[in-house]
Amino acid sequence: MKRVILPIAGIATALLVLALFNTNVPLPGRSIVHAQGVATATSRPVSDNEVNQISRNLYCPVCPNTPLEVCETAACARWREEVRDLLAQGKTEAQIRQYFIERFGVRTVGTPTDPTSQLLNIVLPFSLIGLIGIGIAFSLRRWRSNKRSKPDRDIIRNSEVSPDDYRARLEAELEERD
Amino acid sequence: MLAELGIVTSGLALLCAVFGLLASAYGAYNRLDRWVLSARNATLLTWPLLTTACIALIAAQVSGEFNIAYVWSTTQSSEPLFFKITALWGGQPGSLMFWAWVMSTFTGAALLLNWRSERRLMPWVVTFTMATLAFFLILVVLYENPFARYWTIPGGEDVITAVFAPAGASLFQPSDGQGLNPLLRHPGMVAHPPMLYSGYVGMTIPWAFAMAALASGQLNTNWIRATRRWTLVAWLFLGLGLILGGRWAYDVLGWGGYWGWDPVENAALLPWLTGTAFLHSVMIQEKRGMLKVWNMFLIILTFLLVILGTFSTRSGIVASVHSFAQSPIGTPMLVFIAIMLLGCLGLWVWRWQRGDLASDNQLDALISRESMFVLNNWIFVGIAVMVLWGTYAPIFTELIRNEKITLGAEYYRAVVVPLFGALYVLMGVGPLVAWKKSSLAALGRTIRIPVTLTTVTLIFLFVTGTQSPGALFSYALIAFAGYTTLVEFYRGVRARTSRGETAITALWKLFGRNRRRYGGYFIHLGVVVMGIGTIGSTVYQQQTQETLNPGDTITLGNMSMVFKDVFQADAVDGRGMVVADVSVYRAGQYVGDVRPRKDFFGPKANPMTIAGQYSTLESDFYILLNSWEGNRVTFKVFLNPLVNLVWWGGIMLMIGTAIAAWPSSERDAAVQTLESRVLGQLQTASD
Repeated sequence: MKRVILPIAGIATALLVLALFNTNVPLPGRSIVHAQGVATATSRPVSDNEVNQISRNLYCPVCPNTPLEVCETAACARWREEVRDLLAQGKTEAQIRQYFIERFGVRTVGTPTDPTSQLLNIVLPFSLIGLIGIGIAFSLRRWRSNKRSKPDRDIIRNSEVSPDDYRARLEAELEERD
Repeated sequence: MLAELGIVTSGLALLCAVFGLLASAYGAYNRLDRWVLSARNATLLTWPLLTTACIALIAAQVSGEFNIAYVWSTTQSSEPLFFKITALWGGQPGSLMFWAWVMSTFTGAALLLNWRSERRLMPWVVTFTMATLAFFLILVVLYENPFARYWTIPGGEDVITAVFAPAGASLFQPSDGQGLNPLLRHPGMVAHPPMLYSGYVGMTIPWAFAMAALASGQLNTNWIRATRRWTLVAWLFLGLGLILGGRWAYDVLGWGGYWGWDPVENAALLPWLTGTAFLHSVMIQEKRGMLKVWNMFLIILTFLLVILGTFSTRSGIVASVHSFAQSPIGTPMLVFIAIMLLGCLGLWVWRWQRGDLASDNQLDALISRESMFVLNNWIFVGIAVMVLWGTYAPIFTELIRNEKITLGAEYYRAVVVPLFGALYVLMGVGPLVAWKKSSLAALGRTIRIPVTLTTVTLIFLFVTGTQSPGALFSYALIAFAGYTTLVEFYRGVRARTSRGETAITALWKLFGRNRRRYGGYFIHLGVVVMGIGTIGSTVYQQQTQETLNPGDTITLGNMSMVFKDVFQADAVDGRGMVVADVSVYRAGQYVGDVRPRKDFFGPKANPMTIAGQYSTLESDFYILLNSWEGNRVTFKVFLNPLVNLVWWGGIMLMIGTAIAAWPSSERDAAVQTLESRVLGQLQTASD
């Protein structure tokens, strides 16, 4: 039974993490409103803080691993202004992310967007850890069963040593030496 | 002259390393002492040779020999002397040579300190360390020679870069160099690479001992005893390198944070994670003779991650703000990794199959200190797997799906943070579980105090305004780990004060008597302090961006700033600066001025944003000059609560490691033996 439960639990955990991980990303069945082509809403003033809030979770399409919010290049300054324009048009964060994905590819969001990639990037490493865990569990069980079937005189059994006993004895012996 | 000196000495060092590798292997295999001693001498000779080569390069940098391509690309006449010296590791060829020098230093020290005590292992240690050094020297001499010079051929227009003069060519002497990469002109970056290299290279010493044990069949715990201190020293350097790198990012990259899950940061974190797992699991082998297979695997994995990290930084295979440009050493490094992977794992599997790595003992109970260490190892390796996947995701996904996917901070927050949470739980439970066998009832009794203290802390935090469920949960885990550690200290001190010692004396003697255990607990406390700082500075970070006229104010929490003036200036090293004058107020009281600025290093380089910081233990008020137009300046301001605890925790971690690694006196060693004996007697008595 445990053999079945462990992998299921591992996959369930991975899916849970996947769900947590993916709150901003459109899932299958969820409709995606494309930024381009959507009727422009009433323009409104947009603060730097609002732009940063969105840019923080986008990556510069040119510089490696640099969030759009902090990238110093002129191109990124322009893209931040595009974020401002899109916000002024009333676009949501999900729509702006989608807009950037369509223009520059998935690397601009730093996270996989299609379900297969999500499964690959989350479930696969978690499964690997789960497999290592199963291996460890089996090793521990084998060690325990070997222990029961083949008692070793070098191993001291039935010992439940209280840390206090141990310390008291140790300190007593140390005192004798001092 | 300096170039010739460097070429000759680095070339001779390569010859010595190759000779050391071959002679030691031949001598060890055939038990020929003369060959082994000769190999040892050749190994020791690599150090003065490489030291001379490094000094020659530094001298060229300081004296402005811009006909040497490396000197031209990393130094400039107007640079301060300090940066001219540290340019040794400011580019690929120099840093490779520096890597080789550090490797030679560690190897020489290991030979001198362990030659007598580990005589059977040392010939093979020479073989494996020299294999690594020879490989890096091949890169230095044949692929990325830092002494390559510029040449011109009469009649030709092009400038040629070559180590030796092409026929009829004459030296080309540029009037000045390009200068050090602006990002590297920071004190943190001066110390960060040497620390990381020392950490990387340091990890090759325990690996070499492990491989020597596998090759020679001396598979008792000698290799672990001999390398425990080496591992701790390497771990210390690696940790220090990571912390300095974080501080550098915080001060120089201008985004208000210190860890961005950049591939190169991750590359350094990976061997630290597996090295930490190894430091824990070797205790089981030392005490119980168990986990021999696993410990061998862990140290091999750590070494391979060191080489993989070096490869990633230098091959351009993963794009990073840190990495060197794409270079020709990618392919040879990949070949070296493949050879090492096959060689190390082959030797390991061979010994495993022969039964040479069988455990001396079996697991007594599932609730035991041994099990806690196994769980600890699982989580550390789990984090390493996640970080490894995230770092190399563009390669993996391109191989599997032909689509390059880069994973950003969101991925790591989702997958790595929960695993770190689990580690804090284990830090809280592990020390309370006895070796060999414990029970839930016994654990319940010992866990009561830390759990009660944690509950009281949580109530206090909730009442005083910490109401984010995530923060409360995280603080609960961290507090639990911290209280367990403090309770362990309290118990030790109480046992000694009952004999009439003062609390301070008792604490001092506690560290002196068992440096390893209490040094380890001090490290745990450092990790707890870092955890508090990390949660505070991420969950409760506040930030804003506003454009101000002189006299305008920005307020965040209890801190505020008043913008006074902005002006332009030129630094002596040729850097252009735009500096803002800002006054800082805390709870309405003036506390000082700071000067956030932008540095400009010529038209091609991106400007650097240097923060103005007002730091207290409570928080960092971190001000960035974003842009300016006339007198109007756009500032980005962060209030990072408790961020300085991250650095203080890091310092505690270093101190704890130094305590644990500090050599014990003979008396202390006797006490440790006695400790084991007492434990054994008590357990026998309870049978």
